Amino acid sequence: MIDWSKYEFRCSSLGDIMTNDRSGKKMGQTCISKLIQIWWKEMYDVEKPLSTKHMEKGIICERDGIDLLSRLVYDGEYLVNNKTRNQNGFISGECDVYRKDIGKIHDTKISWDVETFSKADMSKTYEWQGIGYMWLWDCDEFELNPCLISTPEHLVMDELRRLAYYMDDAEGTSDKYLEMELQIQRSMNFERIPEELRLKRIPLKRDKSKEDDLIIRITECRKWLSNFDPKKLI
Amino acid sequence: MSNIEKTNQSVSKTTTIKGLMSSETVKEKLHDLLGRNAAAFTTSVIQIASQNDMLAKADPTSILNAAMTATTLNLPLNNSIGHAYIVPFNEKQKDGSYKVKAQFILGAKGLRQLAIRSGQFQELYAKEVYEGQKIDDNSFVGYRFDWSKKVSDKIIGYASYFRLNNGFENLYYMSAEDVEKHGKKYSQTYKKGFGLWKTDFEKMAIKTIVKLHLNAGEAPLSIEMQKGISADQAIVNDLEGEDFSYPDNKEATIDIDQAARVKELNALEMNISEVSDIEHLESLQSDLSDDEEMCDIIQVRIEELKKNMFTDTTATKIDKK
Repeated sequence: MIDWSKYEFRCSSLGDIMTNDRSGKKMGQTCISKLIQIWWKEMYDVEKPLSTKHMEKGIICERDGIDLLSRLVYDGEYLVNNKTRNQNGFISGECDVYRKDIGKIHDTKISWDVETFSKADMSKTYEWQGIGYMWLWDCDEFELNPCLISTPEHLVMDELRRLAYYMDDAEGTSDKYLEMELQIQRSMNFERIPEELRLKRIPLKRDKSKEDDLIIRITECRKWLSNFDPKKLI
Repeated sequence: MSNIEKTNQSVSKTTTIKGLMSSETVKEKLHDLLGRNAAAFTTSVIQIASQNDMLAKADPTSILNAAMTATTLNLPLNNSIGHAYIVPFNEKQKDGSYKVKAQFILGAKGLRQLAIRSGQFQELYAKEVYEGQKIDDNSFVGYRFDWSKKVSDKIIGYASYFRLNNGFENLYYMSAEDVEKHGKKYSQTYKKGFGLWKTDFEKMAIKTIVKLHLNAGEAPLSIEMQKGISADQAIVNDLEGEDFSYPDNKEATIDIDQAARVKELNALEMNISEVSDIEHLESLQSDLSDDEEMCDIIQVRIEELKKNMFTDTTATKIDKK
């Protein structure tokens, strides 16, 4: 049986559990949905499959993103990709890069295309994730770094196969297909764009009062999870 | 290292087929192998590559090797003749990325041609079997057909037959379902719903039945037939046509974590190759102490630097003396 009173929330879920209802005081619907998701995951290892192509690009290109950050911000110095999951009794997390010498954490986000890159900003999810990381590593600075990295060739090929299927052109020989193919190739390859335009730097400073807010909400969520009865959903 | 390996290695950095064919090493090699036909061969290879946009992007060495295989088998690379083809294929690399390479495809007619040339076959043919034509279904003692009993246009299978000069005859049959299963098993494009198996199923089925029949153990295979069968659907890795890899048979899935890991190791290797400060490398090594593989890579670089330092010091001492 899970002891929910000791459950540590992942930094990536903090944005969801910190949402409030309209009164601004109680847990919001997004928070409750997240808690239900966590309950199923922890009790029966059931979870919603994540979108694959975006996730796949994120995993494969993570190192490219860190290298871009290294070239643009740290003069090419090798940045160690953190593999440690820290925990403090309330939350747990694994940031991308931790620079102990300057007390700073970087989290790279690999954008799927120019549109998602342009829109990438310090959303509530990323902000709470950053707050969580600074708390876990006890440091004062966090930087979110959305990156525009060329899509790996096999994912481009997947897109082209999908295009051929939708255009009913299995061999991919029609003029219309070829024109679209070129467009896809260009929209997924960013090497021609100067590197300094392919990395965003969005800083966040530590605010310890936010950590207190997290403790209050986590305590509430733990209580909610302990009392949760899935039969009420049926 | 053989000359062929040297040739392949020295040309591997050339980016276009034209550049490759005009390099002195290749010219020399082709002259050795083909004599006065080398110039005509060069023209036809450049022509083939330029006829297909994707093939033009393929690794030029793989185009050259595939074309050389067709030439040594004396099969023309002309689509309308249908003896042999060179097609582009996206080959998965170790890091999960894809590289376009040229794949040699032996046509059904080419296979038949090689059998005829061996001089041992009196007859060799393959055809579709329609519903009603198969009258005895016994794979152990042999199938029997009555070609006049066709009841519909539904193809139920494919049969291949040969008779040798010495009178030995043999028949091979596969149901349409089994042929389809074979296509799905061995063709990555058919699995995904496109490619020749999708657009030219009949042709591919006939070729498959002939190839499987000849390779089943009953038919005498000349050296050329063996080579043709081995090279079919392969990426030819050398000019002599002896080293093949079969991209169609590879697992299509990509190990994402493995691909990310390869990238990570490559990035580290590339980065530290420019670092000459041993202290910095040792501190990096301590940051990465949980990762044995990465520590090993750094250790190699440290030892390389130490060795260079030793060589430099020794050289200085010798100079002073």
